[in-house]
Amino acid sequence: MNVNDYILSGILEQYVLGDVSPQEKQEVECMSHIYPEIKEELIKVEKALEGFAMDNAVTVPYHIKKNIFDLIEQEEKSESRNESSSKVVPINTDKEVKVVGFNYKKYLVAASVLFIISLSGLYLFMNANKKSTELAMSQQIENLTQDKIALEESYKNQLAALSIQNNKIFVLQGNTKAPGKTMVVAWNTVTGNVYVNNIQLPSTPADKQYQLWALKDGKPIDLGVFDVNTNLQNMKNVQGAQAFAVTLEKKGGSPTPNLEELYAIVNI
Amino acid sequence: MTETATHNIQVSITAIKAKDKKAFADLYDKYSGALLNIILRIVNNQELAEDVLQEAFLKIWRNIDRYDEDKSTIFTWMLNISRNTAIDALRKKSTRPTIQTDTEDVYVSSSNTIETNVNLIGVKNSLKYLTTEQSLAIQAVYFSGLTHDDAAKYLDIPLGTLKTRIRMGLATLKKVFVQ
Repeated sequence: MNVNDYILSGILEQYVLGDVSPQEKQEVECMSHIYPEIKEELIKVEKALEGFAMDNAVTVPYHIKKNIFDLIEQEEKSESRNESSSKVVPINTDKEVKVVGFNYKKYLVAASVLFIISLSGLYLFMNANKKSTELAMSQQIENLTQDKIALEESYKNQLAALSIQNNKIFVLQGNTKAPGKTMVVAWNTVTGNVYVNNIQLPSTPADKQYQLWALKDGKPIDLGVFDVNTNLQNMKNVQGAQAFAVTLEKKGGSPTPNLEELYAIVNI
Repeated sequence: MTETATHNIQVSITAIKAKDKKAFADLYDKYSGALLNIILRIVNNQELAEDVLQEAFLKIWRNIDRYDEDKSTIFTWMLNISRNTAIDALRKKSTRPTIQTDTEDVYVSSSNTIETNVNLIGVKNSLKYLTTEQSLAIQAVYFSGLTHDDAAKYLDIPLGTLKTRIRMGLATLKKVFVQ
């Protein structure tokens, strides 16, 4: 069975061992969310490795536990102290006493002038430094935001033709089989209409086609096949979908998805 | 506390999330020994390992709100925190300026080839059910946090062999520890 193939692929072990890309991580979390069998297997792998680790436990010196709980107590105390007292501490008044006998007023004035000059110098220096980093960062953020807005706009514009209410638009991210590639699925939650658009997935061999699936209560529902160069193609309708997934299948499609050839998946 | 008693401690995550220190102490009693062993495998120094364990448990206490029971078991989550804290500590140690006494050292501490102590001292117990090779492969990846590629290089075996050993070892561990 397909879910079994996915389990046997070794990806769950890699996930628990921490050796997966962020994309694969998301995919495993998505799949285990949808398929109880995958979730169950994931827990088994975790429990097996936990057993291994527990079986090899070593004795921990007692003072560590004490240290940890002492530090926690301290943190809690200082937290509550910070909340209750935030008084302004007066600037050192001892100085005045020490310079008595000299013309202390003169010294005080000189000292405060110097102090103010050095403070303002420091302030200006730090501010200039901070400002330039802040500026560079905010520019970067600005650029990224612009890119994001432009990208979102272009997707939305392409789907403007659909401009029906209740449309949900999903950008599917390709997994390791199609890294950095995306495609768009639009789904009308009321009518159940599904469209695919802007497909950037790799071109397929002549005997293969991409197939779109909806996942509902752990069951894949076939939504039909599509080609990479298609534009705003209407797929089969679906109600109550919990995820959309794309697999590469033989031309014309398959009755059940081949999870070994999963290209993208998105949770709803 | 005997080993079996440690295994059987029931931990209430809900209570820890509500900042119940007694529940946190249970969590510590149950898992600190297993985590210290894993940290020791990474940093290879008892004193540093104890510091890392302490820091890791403080992070666990401070960030328990972020633990999502739907995504992983509490142990996997704690292991990731411990492993990352250990690797950070090792990096800090290796970037501390020291006088270069050995030309070899220059090539050792790039981020992916952190020297870890993959040995058998800490896993004698598991040799009851795993082969030495399987145990080493699982340790290198699970305990030391090496990627499969790095672990294969470290153990000087082909990647495919490493994967096979991990798979076979895990199959046995599942039989031993999961009903």
